[in-house]
Amino acid sequence: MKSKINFTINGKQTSVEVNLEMPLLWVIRDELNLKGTKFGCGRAMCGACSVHVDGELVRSCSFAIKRAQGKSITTIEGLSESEENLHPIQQAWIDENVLQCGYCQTGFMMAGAKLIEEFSDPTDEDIKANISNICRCGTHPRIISAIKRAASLKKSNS
Amino acid sequence: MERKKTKEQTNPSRRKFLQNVGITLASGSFVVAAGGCQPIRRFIADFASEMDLPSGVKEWHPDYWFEINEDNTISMFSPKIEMGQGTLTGFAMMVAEELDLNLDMVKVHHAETSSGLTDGFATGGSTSTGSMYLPLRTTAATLAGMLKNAAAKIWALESTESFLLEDAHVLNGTDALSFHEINLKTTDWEVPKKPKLKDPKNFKVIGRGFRRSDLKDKVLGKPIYAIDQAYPNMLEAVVLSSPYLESSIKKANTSKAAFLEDVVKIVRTETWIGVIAKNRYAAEMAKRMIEVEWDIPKKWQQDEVLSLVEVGKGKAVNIQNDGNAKKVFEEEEIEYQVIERSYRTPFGSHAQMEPNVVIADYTEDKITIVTGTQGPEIIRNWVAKEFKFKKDKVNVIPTFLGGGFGNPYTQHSEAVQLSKAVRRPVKVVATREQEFQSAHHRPCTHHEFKVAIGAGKKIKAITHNQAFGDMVLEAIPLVKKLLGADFVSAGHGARILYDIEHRNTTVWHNKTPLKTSIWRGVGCFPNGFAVETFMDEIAVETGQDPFEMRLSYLRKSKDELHQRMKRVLETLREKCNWENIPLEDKVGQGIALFEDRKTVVAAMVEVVAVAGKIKVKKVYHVSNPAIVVNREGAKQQVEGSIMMGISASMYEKITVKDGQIEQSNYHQYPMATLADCPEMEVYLLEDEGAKRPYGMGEPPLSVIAPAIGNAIFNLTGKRQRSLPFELEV
Amino acid sequence: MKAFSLLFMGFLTFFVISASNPKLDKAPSFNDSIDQLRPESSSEARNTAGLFPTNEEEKNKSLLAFDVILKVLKDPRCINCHPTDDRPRQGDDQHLHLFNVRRGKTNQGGPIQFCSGCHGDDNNVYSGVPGAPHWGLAPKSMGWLGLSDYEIGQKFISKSSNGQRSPEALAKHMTEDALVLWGWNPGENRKPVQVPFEEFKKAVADWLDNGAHVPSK
Repeated sequence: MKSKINFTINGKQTSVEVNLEMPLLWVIRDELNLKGTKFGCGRAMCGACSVHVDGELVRSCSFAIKRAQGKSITTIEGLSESEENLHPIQQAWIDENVLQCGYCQTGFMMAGAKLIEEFSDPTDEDIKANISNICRCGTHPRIISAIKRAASLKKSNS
Repeated sequence: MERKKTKEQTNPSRRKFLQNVGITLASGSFVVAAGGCQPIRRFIADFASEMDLPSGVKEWHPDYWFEINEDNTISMFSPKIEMGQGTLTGFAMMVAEELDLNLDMVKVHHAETSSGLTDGFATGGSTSTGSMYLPLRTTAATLAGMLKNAAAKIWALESTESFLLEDAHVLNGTDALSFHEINLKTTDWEVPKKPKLKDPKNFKVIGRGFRRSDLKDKVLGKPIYAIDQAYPNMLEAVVLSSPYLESSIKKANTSKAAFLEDVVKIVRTETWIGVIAKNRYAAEMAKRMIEVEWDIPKKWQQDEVLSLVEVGKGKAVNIQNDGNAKKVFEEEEIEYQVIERSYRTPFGSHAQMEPNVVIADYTEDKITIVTGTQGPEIIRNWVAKEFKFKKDKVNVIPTFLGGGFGNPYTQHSEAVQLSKAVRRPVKVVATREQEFQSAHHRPCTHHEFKVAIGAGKKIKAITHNQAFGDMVLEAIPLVKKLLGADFVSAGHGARILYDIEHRNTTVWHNKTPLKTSIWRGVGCFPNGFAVETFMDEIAVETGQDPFEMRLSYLRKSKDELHQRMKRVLETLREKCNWENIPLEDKVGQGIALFEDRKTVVAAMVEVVAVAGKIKVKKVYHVSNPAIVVNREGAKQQVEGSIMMGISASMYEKITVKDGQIEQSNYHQYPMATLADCPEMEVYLLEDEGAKRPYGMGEPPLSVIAPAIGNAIFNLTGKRQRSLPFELEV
Repeated sequence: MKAFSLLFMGFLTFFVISASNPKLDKAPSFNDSIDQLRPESSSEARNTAGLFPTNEEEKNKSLLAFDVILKVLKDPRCINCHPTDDRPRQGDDQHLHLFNVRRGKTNQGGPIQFCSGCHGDDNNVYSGVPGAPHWGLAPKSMGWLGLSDYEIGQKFISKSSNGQRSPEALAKHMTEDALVLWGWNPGENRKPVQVPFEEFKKAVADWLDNGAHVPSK
């Protein structure tokens, strides 16, 4: 049974008509054609599918689309104002040359973007304790440096 | 199904500027000799250990490789795949170097197999940068020469001697022509007979550190992976494959699944069932509704599987016989201190983040495949054979890969069959459960060592027996018959490299019911752990400093490798300030030194106990790949190896229970996370006058497990002889 | 048996009844540590819940019923989110919840990873992640993991640690709260609470009707 769900994605009002149990992940990727949010495990374990829903960090493979009604969703594609004017987390990711295969990284950036909202001056321990995403290439040391850099970029921007 | 054309590809003014150039660039070949006697095998083992493999690339004509675009950028088509290791950035650097271009003027794309630019050896073995270093620079230098020759013709000048390349222009002192202008005005290209390579002294790009060329696309979340590709009319599919070892379908009821909304078709074969649907959600949910009874000939248990892989079982091949170790151990007159130890490493998962994705489009006259793979040509050949198409009627379009690490798992056959069944493009994305339970794993190993220590604590003789599960040979019966055992991959790194008088290494090839394959580092992950843990045990048993003891087997040798090993180890000792490390009860130190395909690496690891659990606090790491192309890229590979080494040695283990792999998803296969990230100090060494670089993708990994294990022993007094380590203190 | 917290307010009316019972003054306060829950003299702790006139027979009936309730409270489906520390547990082996999940300021995780980042109002049919309304940890005062039956009983019955609930309120909570009821419908591959719900419901009624006793030391 399909139903219509209305929500905002990256600032734009949208609606989809899908099975209510369909994960937000597949709606974002295949109904809305935004491919930056990744499928990694399908069980909310790896964090590759992380997005923001009403400002909170959510693993979108475990977020049935019915929960999105009336909510505001941000994906990696909506994080920055433009490709030239990047969100501090994305800018820091470039500055620190963080990624390797890159597949899990959009999820990490979404988590990092949320983290610098809560911690204006995060320590290594703050980052280690609060982000549990999985990366196989081993970009961890650069992720930690980039999140700290993003926090200071954010401060100097504001 | 056509690939979305990029701007430069659709531009009508673009042209291939060269038809048939006769440059041949021999990059070596793997000569397989007939006969199966041991000395030949040892010879091949020597050869394989150095892995001076050809690049596998057969076409070296610049017109396959490069295109000059309207904006003067150069498009390069790479037969090697970018899976995160930074290869494409390194290639761009080599091209930019020889053409005197800014790095951002070189755009590197993956070559489709139909372009003819294929790679029979696949991307792997840490060979991409090394094997392409001279050929690619030569090809780029050839292009530079061609552009200069063409410019000379346009200017009606005789000599190109004084021409310079700058910012995608050829300059003659007074005039300038852009690469694009030259391309437009030239129909008859003149190829330089001997392209002149740049003198490394004048390098402006190679040897420096650059950010990755794919960085911004990946930061922006651009659709560059196979899973992101979409085509008109495409359907989504999932495959139900058996989670049991060596099993097939006995009975299946698909009726409930077939009636689920959005399900288009269910395709059944003897070993798998495919569900094709209008969207991924429907396909996956329908798959779960299929009721299957599996035909499981034997419900394997962990102990049974492990007992298959033991020294003394299976096919033995001697791969090292220096001196006469056997005689030393039989000697009765001299009394040696004899130490015997054995070690084990478990099955391990690649656990790369992107599950296998294959998009197939089957039509009457051609098959198109889009996939993330380390071996596009291999897949092209398999598909052509299975579906009885000529090779040129099968095109494999490789994409960026979301991690590789050697995982050969691919559902190309399933995807093509499913596409054939509906005559529409079909995308098959593996579930994470399939990746754990139906894909390939690193085989387990068992090691037995014996050492005879004589006067002055000197090692007189050492033997290593390694038993392993297969990594590649079972798939190539002919080569298996010739080599006898998979020492090329699974046994890689088993030989004792230290300058010891009597050394003997034998490998034992065994088959297990698990599908096993190459995993980052090939044999060097288990062998690095076993050999370097044993060396540490010898140092402890004989009361020697671990650095000093190792150096004593390197110092006197004139052998180039020994000298390089010595330099790396001495550098490590200096960088970690070994002599001045305070003797603290709370921090354990351990070291390891290894060589993998001529790249020499060493690490010193510090561990501590936090809340009763071992944690890696700091890693000092030194590598010498002879030449470093991209310092940033090489450092990333070291950092990645450190994290993967921590993960694999401290947490990871694939086990079997009741006929299936117990781990179905990440919750049962814990891996290192940010919380495990230690401090790192990474150092890169180069060799003066080196001709080409060696690999950095895998070698840095080999020392991590033993250095951690040795550090744990140093902290707790508990020797770590199997992986994953005992972390409770 | 998770997250009593949101039900606090609804049960304030029962406060009057309990406040009138002087015995309850001896009950542990919200801030008491587990050690303080073990009074030197156990006589004072006995009959903490003596809200009603009792006789031995009724008391035994009530205690027998409480044994059944205890089985439920200690079932992994319930106690995994009633830790005495700040880390929820998972699975029948009660391992620490993966991803370094923490209690957070509101017992709902955070500040980055909240429970609701993965858990919805119902079991997720796609990911298999369990869900129920107001998914989260029970407040720390209601942590039971690793405690003795006696200690659990004390924490359970004592208003200062149970969210100001009277025995009636506890009974209602245990048999009607959606998050509690999840224990019998935990979703794929999870064992439901081992005591059948009807049996549990009856035990709760018997416990309440016979004086709402909890074990003495």
